[in-house]
Amino acid sequence: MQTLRDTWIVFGAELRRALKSPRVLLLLLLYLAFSAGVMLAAGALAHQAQVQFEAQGQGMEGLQSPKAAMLALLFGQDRSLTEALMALPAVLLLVFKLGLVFLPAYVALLGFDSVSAELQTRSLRYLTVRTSRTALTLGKAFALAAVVSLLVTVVQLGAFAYTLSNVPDFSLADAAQAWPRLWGTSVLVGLAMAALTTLCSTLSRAPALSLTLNFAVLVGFAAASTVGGGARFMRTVQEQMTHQPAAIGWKERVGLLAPSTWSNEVLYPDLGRALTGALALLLFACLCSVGAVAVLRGRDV
Amino acid sequence: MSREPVLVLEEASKRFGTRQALDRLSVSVPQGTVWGLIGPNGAGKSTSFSLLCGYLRPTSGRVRVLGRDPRVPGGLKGVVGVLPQDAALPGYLPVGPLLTYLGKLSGLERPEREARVALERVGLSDVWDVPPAALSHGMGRRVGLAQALLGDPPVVLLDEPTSGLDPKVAAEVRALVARMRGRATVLVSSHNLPELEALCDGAAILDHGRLLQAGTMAELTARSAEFRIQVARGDIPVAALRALPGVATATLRPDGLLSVVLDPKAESPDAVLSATLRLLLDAGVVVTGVSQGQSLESRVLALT
Repeated sequence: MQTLRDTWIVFGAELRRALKSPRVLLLLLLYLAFSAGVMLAAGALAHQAQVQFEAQGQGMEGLQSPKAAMLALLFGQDRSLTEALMALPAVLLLVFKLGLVFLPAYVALLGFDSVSAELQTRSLRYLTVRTSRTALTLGKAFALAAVVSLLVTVVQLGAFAYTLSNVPDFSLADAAQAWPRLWGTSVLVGLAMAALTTLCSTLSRAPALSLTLNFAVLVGFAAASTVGGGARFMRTVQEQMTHQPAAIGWKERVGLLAPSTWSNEVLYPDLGRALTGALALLLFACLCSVGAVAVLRGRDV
Repeated sequence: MSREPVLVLEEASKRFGTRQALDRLSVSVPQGTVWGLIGPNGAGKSTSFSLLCGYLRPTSGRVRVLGRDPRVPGGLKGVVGVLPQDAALPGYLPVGPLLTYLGKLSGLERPEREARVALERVGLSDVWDVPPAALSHGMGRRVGLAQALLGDPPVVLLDEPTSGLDPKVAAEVRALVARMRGRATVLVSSHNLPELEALCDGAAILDHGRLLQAGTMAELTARSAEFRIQVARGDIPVAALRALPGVATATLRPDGLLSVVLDPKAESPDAVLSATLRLLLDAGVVVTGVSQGQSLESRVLALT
């Protein structure tokens, strides 16, 4: 109970600190500007493509269409997922996906020094005699997660508002149906990345080292995702050619280590698959948080 | 000094890589006393502080504060106030809100009120809205002291509390610490030995991570074991002095300083001092000063 109360106190202080920090505000503005730029560029391109393909008498909706090819590129070669996403406007999906690609780096830049800077200046010593290190770590991680959730909510709201006003076929009912999946996925990835960043921040007294470590892990995840995605693509091609189910190899399993693999799962129309993806991201966030607590509790401050 | 020990280091060792910062140190501080930690740089004072505050984990040995292990999560909450030596104040909140935040984490019922009281005690009521980074070094130390005193904790650990303070403020801090005697157990680390001698009931002298001597200030300075008399002029009856009951030896230095070492079996050191002075005055000797024991500084210099 005491830990919960202290976590809440630390969370409040850290959240106020984050929302007043010039660096955090600048990064938030940059991310918003980036998302707005992607939105405007994607909107213009999608509109141009639509006009061009309609002039050539080609549809934009079939699985052989350029939109389907773009979805396969962004979300992987999975027929059921592509089919589900075809109903959504391309601009919305593009903003969503690019936002997710860059979100881990933004979260790392937002929170890489949340613990390490206080270890470096030893200002954490004023806090550790007053409360448990568990409350300190969780309070900081939750505050970072809250800032990230706020950020992705604003971006998603902007993207939905833009799409509603610029894509005539996209109704409010469509938006209400798509919102939980897209917003939920962004928030879950944000939580997972906030926990990972907090863990990396507890590992070193030097903020620069924490940031380097954080980016190294992200590069590792990107590599795992690429290897896994490639292996999955090859398996799909093989299955299509042989009409026989192929075994999942170790390369494809490596991809399961990357949170981005699971973020795609959340988008599947099959509820069980989507929940598995959501639970995997939550588990990742929990493991990183527990790791951060264990590291801070075990180390000298 | 038969009161229960509040701060206990038992055979505590701490190793950083190949460097042995503390080597089986055993010190205990009785309740309600002001105790000093003394030693040259690298003696292990700050490491001892850090063990008692739970910042560091001992490599071996046992550490207890009010009977609790300081590494147990939240174990020191609300019972220990600490002024660390080289920790920067958290810079993300102005002084007043920062102290209020720390008070909340200490579990104080009225943290803002306690923060104002603590700032008033260190004479800094007017820095409530000032960011810590804008404070001078001395003011920063006083804010640090204020956060250590938040809510009047029963145990206060002060690492170099007067370092960087001007003489007037340093004297105020000493008076503040002296007023805590009996109400709180205070451990003070300082290089300022006259300050510690005046302030502390006892001390532990460390060097190279080891305990050289610990005890009450009277024991450390041998206050009841010897006294010195500064003589201006007159013939000193050295033989008669040595024959006085309770006197073990008496030696006169060329500069007129008479050093009298008491027989350990002497029942009343004060009575021996009185008898010695009476003998000297009766012999027409002019006495200009009397001091009991050695200064703490001499004792530390002799030991380290």
